[in-house]
Amino acid sequence: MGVSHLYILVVLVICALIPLILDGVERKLRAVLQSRIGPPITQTLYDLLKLALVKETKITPTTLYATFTLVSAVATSLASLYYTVIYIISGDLSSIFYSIALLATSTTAHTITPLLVPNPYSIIGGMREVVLAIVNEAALILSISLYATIVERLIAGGSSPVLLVATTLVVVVALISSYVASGRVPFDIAEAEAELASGVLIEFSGRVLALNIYSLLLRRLASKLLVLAPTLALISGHGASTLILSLLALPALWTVYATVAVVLGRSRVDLAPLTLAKIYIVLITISITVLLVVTRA
Amino acid sequence: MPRLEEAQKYIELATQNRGEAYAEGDTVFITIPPDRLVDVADTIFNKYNCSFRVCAGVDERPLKGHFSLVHLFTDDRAGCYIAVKTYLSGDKPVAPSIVSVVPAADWCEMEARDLLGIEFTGRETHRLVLPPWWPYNLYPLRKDAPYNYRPEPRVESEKVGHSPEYGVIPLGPYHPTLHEPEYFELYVEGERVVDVKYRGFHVHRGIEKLAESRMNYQQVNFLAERICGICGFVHSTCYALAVEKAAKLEVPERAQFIRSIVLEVERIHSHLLLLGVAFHLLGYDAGFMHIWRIRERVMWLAELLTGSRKTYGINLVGGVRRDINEEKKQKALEALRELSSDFKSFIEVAMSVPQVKKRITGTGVLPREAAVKLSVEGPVARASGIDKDARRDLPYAAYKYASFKVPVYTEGDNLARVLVRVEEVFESISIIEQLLDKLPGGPVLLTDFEIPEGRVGVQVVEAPRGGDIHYVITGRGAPYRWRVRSPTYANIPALRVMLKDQPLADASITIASIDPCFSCTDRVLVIRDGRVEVMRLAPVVK
Amino acid sequence: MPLKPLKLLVIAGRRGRVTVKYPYKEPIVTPEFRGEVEIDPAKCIGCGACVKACPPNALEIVESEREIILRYFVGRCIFCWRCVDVCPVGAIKGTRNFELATDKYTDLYTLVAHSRVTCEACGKPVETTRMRRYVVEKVQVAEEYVYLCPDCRRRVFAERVSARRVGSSELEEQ
Repeated sequence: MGVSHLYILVVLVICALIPLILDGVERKLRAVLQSRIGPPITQTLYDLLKLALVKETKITPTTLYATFTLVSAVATSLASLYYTVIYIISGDLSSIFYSIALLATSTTAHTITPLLVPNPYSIIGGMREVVLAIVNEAALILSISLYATIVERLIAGGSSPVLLVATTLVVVVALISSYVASGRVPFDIAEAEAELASGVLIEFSGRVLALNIYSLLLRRLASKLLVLAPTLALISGHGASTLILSLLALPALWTVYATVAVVLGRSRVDLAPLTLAKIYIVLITISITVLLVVTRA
Repeated sequence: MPRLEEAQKYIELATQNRGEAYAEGDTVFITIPPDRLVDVADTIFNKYNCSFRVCAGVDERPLKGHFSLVHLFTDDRAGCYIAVKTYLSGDKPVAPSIVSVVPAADWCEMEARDLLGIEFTGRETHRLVLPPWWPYNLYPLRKDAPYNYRPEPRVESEKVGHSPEYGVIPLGPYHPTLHEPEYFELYVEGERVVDVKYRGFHVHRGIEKLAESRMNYQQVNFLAERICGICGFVHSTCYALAVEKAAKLEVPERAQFIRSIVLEVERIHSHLLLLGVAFHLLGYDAGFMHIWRIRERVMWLAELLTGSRKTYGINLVGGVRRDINEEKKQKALEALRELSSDFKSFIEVAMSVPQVKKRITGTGVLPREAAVKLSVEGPVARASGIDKDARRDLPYAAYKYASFKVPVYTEGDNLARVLVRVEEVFESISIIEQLLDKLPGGPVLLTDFEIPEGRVGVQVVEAPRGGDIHYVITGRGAPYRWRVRSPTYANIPALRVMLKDQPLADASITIASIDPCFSCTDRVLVIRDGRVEVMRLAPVVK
Repeated sequence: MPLKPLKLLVIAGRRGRVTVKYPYKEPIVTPEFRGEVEIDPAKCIGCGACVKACPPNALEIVESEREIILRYFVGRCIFCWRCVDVCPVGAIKGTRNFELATDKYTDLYTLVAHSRVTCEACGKPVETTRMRRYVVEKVQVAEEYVYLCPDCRRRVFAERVSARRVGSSELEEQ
């Protein structure tokens, strides 16, 4: 679409760095809602730099394997971001499918990581993450795929109230599943510090911990951008300006998610997946039925 | 004061069992021969439905030539204390165990065995309080054991327990949930807790021995205050009241009022602390921050009234050291009004969070029979349907001048314990307002008095966690024997019942819901570098 | 209702931010606060009443032949101000200082040295000069005893009593 590779590279670099600042904003917002001053916005950046450069990294027998899975997670997240950017600029549906697939791979790699660590807290946390991911990833993949497809349909021309109803349902599922995928309260049961003494993060330190946290933040960005991409495409078509709008809308969505995380408590591994499964099954079934009806008609 | 006929039945019980008894003030002192101990304890605990509080071993060899063992009960309906004493002769004293009829006596008997060398027949025992490298014939609380002798510790490596069928999750001694070191070993099947082993007593500090050896009466108040960081004033008040009861001192009324007011301030602060911690454990950090912001006001109030945010240091035997003038009273009333509305509006928001409600309802259940058998204390008992509150049953300080409600729930789950504490905060605010209103004039400290030797004083004070009991035998210039039993000591054995069949995620919140204060629980011995092997809790309740 | 948790935003908005950027701003301390104590060396008489009252032994008396030193170690102080209560001359004053951290541990010790008087009979050092002056000013004292140490006082008293008695039978009774 006439957008140079340099431009895309710059955008990717921004995407690689912006989660650190947005996490800082989230922490500041949490502090304000809790009536305190809180850390500065650059705190997450400082934390990761300190972990990577100053703190000791304890090497255990499985650190190498964990580092491999984490690096794979980061790489596939970046690749997913690339394809999302391509989709926003060009409107090519296959890009968004590549993007979803790569994000699912990234999630798998990140979810396997704690299971490689021979610590009971880590294993329990990892199993909780697996249970949650089984329910959530399916919903995320389905909802984003459906959403992108519907949006392309709407852009190509031809909207109907029924289609919009289906769209709304799909958007709701997309929002919920991308929220769950971000590992925030009430779904941070894998890391549950109070119950599991940091669960999945317990045996990581120094550079590997920095990588782990960065991978989590990058996946948060990727899943939010996946939800924003079709939405902004719907509003302003495809092209470079939509890309800029997406990047501007990103902090807004991040802030909304952050606020929800502050006002809720942590759920439990037997409560959360069941509730989510029920919601997803109902909403997705209804929207697929509606879509089938519309396409037949 | 107990009604005369109530005290009479205990005196008759004593004479029927070849013993003697007399009533003094609100305490009935019974002395019986050792072979009648189990029957008498059975009658008092099971037939007359008294609460068992603690047993204390005393080395009375310098005074009378033998050891003695005192079991302390309280009859909450009648409002009296019952001290059942037996004399044990010889240098290797043996006493019958009452655990078969009073399961709540489990830990204190083992403690008496560890620290004084009193053997108990009729039960299995193990080292509870001392580390495994402690020499076997050195009993710290005996009068011939020096207080500053430190045996060489032997450092042993320790492994987490092993189980062929279940997974083992160690919770402690260092864990983000716990504020003090204690060790819970959870046996889990998937995410369900099947069994738990507890080992505590990591923070012994030799407080009872210190008070007997190198302090005088007034200094012990400050030592008592440091038994616990959260309920310190309860301990120092309880000690002062016990000594005043033993020496029959006429403490000025104004001092008692001030003591009650500060006790209630401490209760509010402690309950707010626990609620904040509970919310944090449930992942609702906003609740934690806001409740502690509200609690900050209480700390400010405490500093205004007493001079220090937490360890108040105003108690002395004979009264208090600080007065409340009109200006402080007005500021206090205003702070309490603000606090009340702030807390009310916030707790409604916090309890409406769906995750908070779902996770504490129906978890960590303690059925009523188990609660009675283990003589649990405080909000844990009141949440399981036992209507027990020392402020109303055994009135002390100025509580008889205030009217308040004692909240009792019957479900026995975590939610009930939280709600009991929320209601108690409002009741405490009301008590403080009533007492500030009725504050009498007069001095606040009794200065000219003497404390005679050889007297006994027993006092229970309702701490935020339950009934705290101090038993004092006066000596010359310092207590001869001082036994402290804080409420968490009685509540921890109940955890084994509460944690059974619970999801692992709720283990932390269940442990926190009894509001454990491990510094209060362990207070008896100096441990330098202790490692203790894993202990089995006696199968108390099935 | 399901939106009740969001009321948190209202509450947070109303209360604002309550934390303070200490140590760049002043902490909130009431006028009642008890901080460390200060000993006025001009008034102190070295009687040791504060040492007897101090629960954690932060105040200690260190004796040597020529002087008695009152040593106050802030590291052990619990800021109870019992010493302030019991000092007979009001030499110890409480302050509101609590920012006591330092990297030189000698900063934590305050020493007040007093010269000692000696017993006129046996030459042993006794109490501090000021204590004796204080006692002499406050109480009617018997001149024969006040300049002696406690052992010599006992000895002299017993000698005087026995000298006053006439006859050995009463002496054997004692």
